[in-house]
Amino acid sequence: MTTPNIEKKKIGLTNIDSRIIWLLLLFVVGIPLLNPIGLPVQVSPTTRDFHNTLRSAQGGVIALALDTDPAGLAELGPQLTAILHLARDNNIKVILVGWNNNAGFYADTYLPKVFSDVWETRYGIDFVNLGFIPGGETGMKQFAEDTWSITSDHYGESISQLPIMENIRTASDLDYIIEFCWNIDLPQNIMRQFVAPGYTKMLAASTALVYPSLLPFIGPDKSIVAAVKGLDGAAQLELLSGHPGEALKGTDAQSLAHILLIIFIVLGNIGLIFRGGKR
Amino acid sequence: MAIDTGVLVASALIMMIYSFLYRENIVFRITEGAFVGASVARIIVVNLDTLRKSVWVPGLQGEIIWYISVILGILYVMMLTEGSYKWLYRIPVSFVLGSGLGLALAGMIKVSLIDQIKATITIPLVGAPIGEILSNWTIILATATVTFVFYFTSPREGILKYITIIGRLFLMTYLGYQFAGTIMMRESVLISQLTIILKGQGIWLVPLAFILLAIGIYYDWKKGQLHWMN
Repeated sequence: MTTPNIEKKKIGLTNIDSRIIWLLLLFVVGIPLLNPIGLPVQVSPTTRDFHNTLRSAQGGVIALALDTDPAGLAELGPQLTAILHLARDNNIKVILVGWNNNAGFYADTYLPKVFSDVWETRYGIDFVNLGFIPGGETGMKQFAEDTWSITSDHYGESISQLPIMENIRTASDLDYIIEFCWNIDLPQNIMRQFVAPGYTKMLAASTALVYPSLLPFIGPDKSIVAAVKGLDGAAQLELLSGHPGEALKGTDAQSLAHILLIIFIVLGNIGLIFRGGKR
Repeated sequence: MAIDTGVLVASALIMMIYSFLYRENIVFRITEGAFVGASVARIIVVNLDTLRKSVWVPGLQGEIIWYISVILGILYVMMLTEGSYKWLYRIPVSFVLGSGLGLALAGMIKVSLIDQIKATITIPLVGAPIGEILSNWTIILATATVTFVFYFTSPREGILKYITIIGRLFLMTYLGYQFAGTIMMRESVLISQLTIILKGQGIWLVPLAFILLAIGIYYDWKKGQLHWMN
């Protein structure tokens, strides 16, 4: 029998094997998903502003720009569902569109979560999936100037056959455009092509990663009127909309994961102090 | 109870990808390859569909002007050639650069410069609730000091040295906030993936995954390849 050649390495607080961290994180996240603890969720003023602004569009039409990659859906997906619930409850018509080539597929996945019971009767009247618009910023400008430049929706239905589009000829006819932000480039493109020329006002639904970069642009008199951030923002929006969903179920797991990571940061730094600051 | 094949396949693929957390292995490589292949195939289909909707269908209705964009697109391929026609790729590149810059510049000055300056110089520094006043003074201080961090014209001596130190502290605070956001986003991805596994039939596969992991660890230990990884 061969003798196992296990590498001898000094184990301390500053060099905990990353696999131990992953395993602990897996348990800390997994257990509350199976047995929710029910930690309280506080609604932040930022999310409340977003909610109130969205509700002010009651009876109007908004566009949702689904410009995210699949990884962003972990946070933006629950936000999108909550926004669609709010829109339905407040009689706001929604146009789903996007300059990311996945946009049509996302809309096709998330619209039925809220509108499946009225899909046959209200599609094209209360909600529509215009799908992916090619051309990046050029495509945005074209859509802002002339929304009918998109000749058909994601399913090939002609725009002229969709009642929701009847009075939407330019982006000026929209109450808001909500950008689902996965990176900082696309929100800036929307600001340049929709907000700067004065077509419409912008709201942002963003990942926690992008939110700090958006902060300078958020405010009542700035390019982004209000914004919602990350999974916690989605959970707060679910709470406000009265439709608890995926995000609220995930907040326990996220809170416990934060605590675990803070413990590791503290342990690592204690280890560093005892080693005289040497890494 | 009906078996949900979609959830089972998704759960298995998620666990196969996460097997990388133990170490690089063939199961991870197969899943990675499948993901890359599926993504590329989807992009090709979406692009061909866009071409059909934007060029082919209007072309059949007599709007042949859209073919110009296809010709310009094809010229990009000249970049891969070495002959005397290689320069032709510069035509579509110049179109894209020119139109992109032209589109972006006008809005950029308003959104990123004028609006930002206006928003910074018009915030109330007195006569507002104390929390807001403190916040506004912090914004002014941070804007001024961070601007000096990127001021390279004169050496950082005297008062300038201390101003840049304060600016750097603000920058580090921002980077810390950004990094915390990155962690939160990765956590959210983990939560959403674990929800797929644990809330559906994927949970049946969890014991199997742990057994396979244990076998992998045992074989690594036997071969003397069980290393600490940092």
